[in-house]
Amino acid sequence: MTRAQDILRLTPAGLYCEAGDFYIDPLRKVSRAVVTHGHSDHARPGHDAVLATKETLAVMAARYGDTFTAAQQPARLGETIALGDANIMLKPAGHVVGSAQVVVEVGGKRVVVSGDYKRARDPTCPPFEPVPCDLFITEATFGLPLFRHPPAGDEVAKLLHSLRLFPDRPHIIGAYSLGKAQRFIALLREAAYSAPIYVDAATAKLCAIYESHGVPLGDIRPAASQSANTLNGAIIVGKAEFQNGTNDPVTAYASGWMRTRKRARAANVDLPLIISDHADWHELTATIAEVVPGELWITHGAEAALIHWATTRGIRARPLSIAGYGDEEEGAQQ
Amino acid sequence: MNRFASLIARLETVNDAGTKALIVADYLSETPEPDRSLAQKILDRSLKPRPVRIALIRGLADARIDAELFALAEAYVGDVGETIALTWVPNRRANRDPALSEIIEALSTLGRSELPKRIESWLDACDETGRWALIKLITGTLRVERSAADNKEQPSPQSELFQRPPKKDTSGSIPAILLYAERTNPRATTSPLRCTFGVWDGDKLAPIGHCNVEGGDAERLESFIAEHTTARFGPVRQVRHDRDVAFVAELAFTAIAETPRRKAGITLRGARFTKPIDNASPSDAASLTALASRLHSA
Ligand SMILES: [Zn+2]
Ligand SMILES: [Zn+2]
Repeated sequence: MTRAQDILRLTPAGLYCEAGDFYIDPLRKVSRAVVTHGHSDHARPGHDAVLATKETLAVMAARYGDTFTAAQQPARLGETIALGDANIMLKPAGHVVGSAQVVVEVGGKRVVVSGDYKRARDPTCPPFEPVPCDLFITEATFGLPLFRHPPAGDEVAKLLHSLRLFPDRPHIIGAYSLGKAQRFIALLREAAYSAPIYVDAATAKLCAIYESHGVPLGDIRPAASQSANTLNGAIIVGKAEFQNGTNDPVTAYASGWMRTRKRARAANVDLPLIISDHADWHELTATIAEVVPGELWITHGAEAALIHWATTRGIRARPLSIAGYGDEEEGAQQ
Repeated sequence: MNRFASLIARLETVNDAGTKALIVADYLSETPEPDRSLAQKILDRSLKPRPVRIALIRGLADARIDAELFALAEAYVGDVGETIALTWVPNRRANRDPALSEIIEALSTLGRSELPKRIESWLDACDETGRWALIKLITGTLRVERSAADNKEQPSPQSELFQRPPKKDTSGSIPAILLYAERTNPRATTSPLRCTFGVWDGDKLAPIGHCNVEGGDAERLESFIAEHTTARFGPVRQVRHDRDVAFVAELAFTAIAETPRRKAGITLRGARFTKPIDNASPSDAASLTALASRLHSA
């Protein structure tokens, strides 16, 4: 009789499934990796074989070159794939383009590895699909009850208000190049902002991947080659370093960490915007309640509050400390 | 309240005095009387409502949230009022948030027994920024930020808003205890550690200031952090700090400042890590009362 807790185990290389002989988001080079999404703490180069959505494979190729693995295995969302004695299936995670949860079934028991996810609407990727399971391995980047991300549209409206107030100043939005930047741009387009949006080179490359996978982002131009005058009154998305070449910019930063005054002040920008691609506390608890796991494992850090919450609801919960999973939002500001 | 609150929040993060002035002017131009005049008075500090005790509001929050979850959130936020504002889950959506004038009037006319219910209804009706500023305003701890660069004089159309009080010399150094640490650049293991230090407030430690630590000192801190992390909040590590085990270091500072918005009520400005204090017992660290009396006698 298989126990759900025995299907995956934590090894120095990451979460390993013995029945299927594969790793999920491994931290070291392995023979077979199943990758949830393209953020660099989850998707690393050098594995012999990588199974992921075609979007995630395209992101990895853009970042690491076509030789990032010897064997790319694209998987469709919802398609069952047999690996050894395990059946796996990718389900949408709603995090960034191509992001997926990994559903692993062995001996009639089901484990779901959430990867990074959110429940809030995102025009750039399909929504998270809850899958009932025996063991749920969830991220908890924002695993404290103070984190509740406001509607992203309201945050975008703050930027547009600033643009009306300071129509001649460039507005520079610090946003992570994969996911946050494109979601922000798509939300601007939804708010009927149709002017060109300027981006840094890394963001431009990823915008092109979004476009080629059916996510229109409108008129995107490279920021680097523009004169300072062109950028007056324009929106620039990407790394904050552009401010050197622009006139008196209004600076903004889009991150879920902007929720507390302490972090908002420390960001040292004019306009902190609370936008995240990770589930907030209410999304985390609602999701756990939906997938009704017998047991819960928690990655990414802030687990104490979530363990308390789960335990008081009769769900066995424990932290799963995978050193090396970070939070891409933290790197964006550098 | 929500609009006024987002103005206060914006003034905290905007650096440039000209930008601040424009944002204030924009707010005032879109605000009808009597709220416009009230807002102006609060901004130039000529209106201070009779304060409500934070314990009253804390009592309202206790009825809404699990005590352990609140404690974990407060440890992260470091400010009771802000923690209440952020963790408060509104019971029912009121169709509008209270006007400043409504709040000011109720504070001066309602009796002690009627006030809690009214405050609770305001908290339900405001958004989180609104709740944050409301709690600050009614507990008498709302401060309108001067520049986030403290040594520049900021000219401003808003009278004394951006001016600094005359300076007293309150520089010095104290033994303090490491509470939290995070990498300034989480991607680079050699980047400086941003550390929050605390001093004793009775039997608890109150955060008192932060500074970056690098080089050999950072390595010393790191081995302590590796062995004594008690909680992690994203990139922030909380380390053990009690009467038995704690990392005690000497902190130098350029000034002691009153910060009613912070839990400790005072903050060390220009804090610098000077050295670890070997063989110190956690109880050797300074206390809040000692720092406060140092400030008031300066
Ligand atoms: Zn991610
Ligand atoms: Zn992650």
